[in-house]
Formats: sequence, structure tokens, C-alpha cells
Amino acid sequence: MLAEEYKRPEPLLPKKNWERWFSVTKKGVGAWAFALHRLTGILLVLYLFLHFYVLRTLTQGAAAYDNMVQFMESPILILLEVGLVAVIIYHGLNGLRLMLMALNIGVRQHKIMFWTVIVLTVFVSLIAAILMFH
Amino acid sequence: MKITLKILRFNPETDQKPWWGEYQVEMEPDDRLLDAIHQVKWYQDGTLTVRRSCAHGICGSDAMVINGRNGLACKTIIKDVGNKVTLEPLRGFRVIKDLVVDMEPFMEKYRSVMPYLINDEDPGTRERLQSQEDRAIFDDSTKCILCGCCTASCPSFWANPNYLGPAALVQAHRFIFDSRDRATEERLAAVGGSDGAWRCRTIFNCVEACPREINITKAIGEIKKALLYNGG
Ligand code: HEM
Ligand code: FES
Repeated sequence: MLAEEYKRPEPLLPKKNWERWFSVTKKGVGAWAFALHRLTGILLVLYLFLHFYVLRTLTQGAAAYDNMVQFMESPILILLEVGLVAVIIYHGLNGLRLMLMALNIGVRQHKIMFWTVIVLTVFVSLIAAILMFH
Repeated sequence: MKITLKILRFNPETDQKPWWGEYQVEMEPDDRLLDAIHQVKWYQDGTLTVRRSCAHGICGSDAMVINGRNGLACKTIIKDVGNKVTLEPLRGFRVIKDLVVDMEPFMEKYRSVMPYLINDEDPGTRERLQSQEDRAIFDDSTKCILCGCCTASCPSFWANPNYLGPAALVQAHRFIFDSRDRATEERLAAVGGSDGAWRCRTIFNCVEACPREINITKAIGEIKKALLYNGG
């Protein structure tokens, strides 16, 4: 019997497509950078619609808008906004890292660039947190 | 030292699904992982199927997943992997038996980038000369042994089996940047499509996996740049 006639299993891979993209076990920092970039990209798209929703209250008169602003001043919302700052800064800076590498600049320095992105993200988010909670 | 090999076994004639086999072998710390696999195959369980030829990191036939990372069993030293070693067949390829996977889809992509020198100009009675500087441009990509470690580690390939993958791109790089070659345009067309170089998302798994330490992401970056300048 030819080898082809035997039943062969599917290639060994996570079954779900998203797991294939996000599986970062035993991988280098590049895989983490990618997974975070995609995650933050998706979060930003979702945030964009949330942002529209919030701005929509502007069309419903001053009272509705004031209400929304008051709601936004709760500590939990501010904490979420600090998270938003982290997401934006990471996606933007790592986006620059990716664009540099697309132009073949600094490909050998990609790890140090990733850690620089992380340090800057944490730093900026901390400053944002201090300013926003002040 | 005593080491335990945990090997993902699969025999399409008898097994419904893959299963783990465990084997104990006595090895020297300086032995290679391939020696340990031989110990199992020759003295414990002859049905264990593994592919190897040169046993010295040149033929590229014994790539497998070693403790979660892709590598060549013949180039892996026992003391570097510890006394508990997990072995699996390469991910993303169909398993023929045990640690042997079907590399045909991989080779098909390799052929699609025309991995040979194309030049119709008559060199006369001499060889085609090349300066040392021109040779150095693609030196890194000549090191590829087509073992498949890189392509089998690439999430972009896992998500889309049609993606050419890092190995085929390295091979394309080897000829695109060869000053003696005249088929740059055809080859750029072969790597420029929607299943080509642009599917690389600079994840660097391939660079971590390559047993020849080729900077694959850099090679793909150079291809992307060439595509950009050539309107690909
Ligand atoms: C500072 C501004 C930004 C920069 C520099 C930037 C840069 C990039 C780059 C270079 C990529 C390609 C990633 C890759 O090749 O794998 C990317 C992907 C993406 N970006 Fe941005 N981006 C920015 C802002 C945004 C915003 C505001 C959004 C959402 C509204 C967004 C959503 C996304 C999404 C969804 C992806 C796809 C992720 C993927 O394919 O894995 N980005 N970004
Ligand atoms: S047996 Fe040839 S590369 Fe390992």
C-alpha cells in the first residue's frame, strides 16, 4: 500500500486560527511584539467606535454631554483611559519599529527596539496615570 | 547521565491519533540528541521512525520540535536540553510516521522561486566572475540547508499554508541578489504576490529557529525593499 493511502492526521497545529497567530509559548520577543501589536490594533478599532458613541452625546444637548463627562470622571474610567494610553503608545511606537524593519533598518536590533518600546510605554503610561489621577 | 525522551508517536497504519512514547536512555552529556534517538530505535523500539542522513547538520533531514523549539537533532547536544526531552514532528506539515513529516508542499514552494542561476549570456570560455563584495551580499542565504525549521515555526505559515514561507524566501534572496543572475524580475514576481514576502509580519520565530543562524527576517526585509523599488 502506498503511503498516500494511509490516513494521515492533520498537521500538528492549534485548531483555531487565532491560536495559530497568538501562540507565543517558547518563542522570542518578536512573537510577543506581534501578538501585542495585533491585540492593541484590534482594541484601538473597538475603541474608535466607543469614541463615536461617546461623542454622539454632543448631539443630544449640553445636559447629556455633562452627564457623560461626569461618568467619565469615575476612577475606573480613568484607569481604563490610562490603559488606553498604554495601548496607543505601544501600538504607535511598535508600529514605528515595524515600519523601520519593513525598510530593512535595524532588523538586527529588533529585540532592543522592542524593549525600548516597552520601557517607553510603561514610562508614558505612568506619567499619564499621575497626571490623570492628580 | 540518564535522560528521558518523550516522543510523539504516530503510525498511520495502526493509530487513530498521535500518542506519547517514553524512553529512558543512558547518554554522555556531550552526546548529540540524535545519538539518544538512535539508542531508542536500535536497542529499545525499532518501530520508531526518524529521518536523518548526514548526522552532521548539513542535509537538513532531521528537523523536529525539541522541547518546544525547532531544531536539528544531530546538532543538539544533550547537556543543552537537559535530562527530560520532548520530541514532536515539525508543526504545519502532515505526519508520515512518528517524527517524519511530508516535506513535499515545502519543496514545491522552494521550486516556485526558481532556485537556480538563470543567465543566457554566453560567458565565453571562462567562468562567470563575481567580486568578493558582490558575493558577500547574499552570503547569509547560501547557508540554508532546507531543513524546514524556519517555515514550520512561522505563525503566518500556520495561519495560511499557501504562504511561501521563510525558507523559500531565503532561497529567492540567494538568487535575487546574485550579480550573475538575470531573472530578478521573474523571481520578484514569484515572491511578490499575495502569498509571498508581504505575508511576513516580522515575528522573528524563523530567526530563533534556524539551526544555521541565518538572519532570515533581514533577508525577507531586503526582498520587500527590492519589491518596493521595483513596483511589486
Ligand atoms: C501612531 C499611529 C499608528 C501607527 C504608527 C501604526 C502602525 C501600524 C503598523 C506598522 C501596522 C502593521 C503591523 C504588521 O505589519 O504586522 C499596524 C497594524 C494595525 N493597526 Fe496600526 N498604527 C497606528 C494607529 C492605529 C490606530 C489608531 C488603529 C485603530 C483604529 C490601528 C489599528 C491597527 C490594526 C487593526 C492593525 C492590524 C494588526 C495586524 O495585522 O496584526 N492602528 N499598525
Ligand atoms: S542528519 Fe543531516 S542535518 Fe541532521
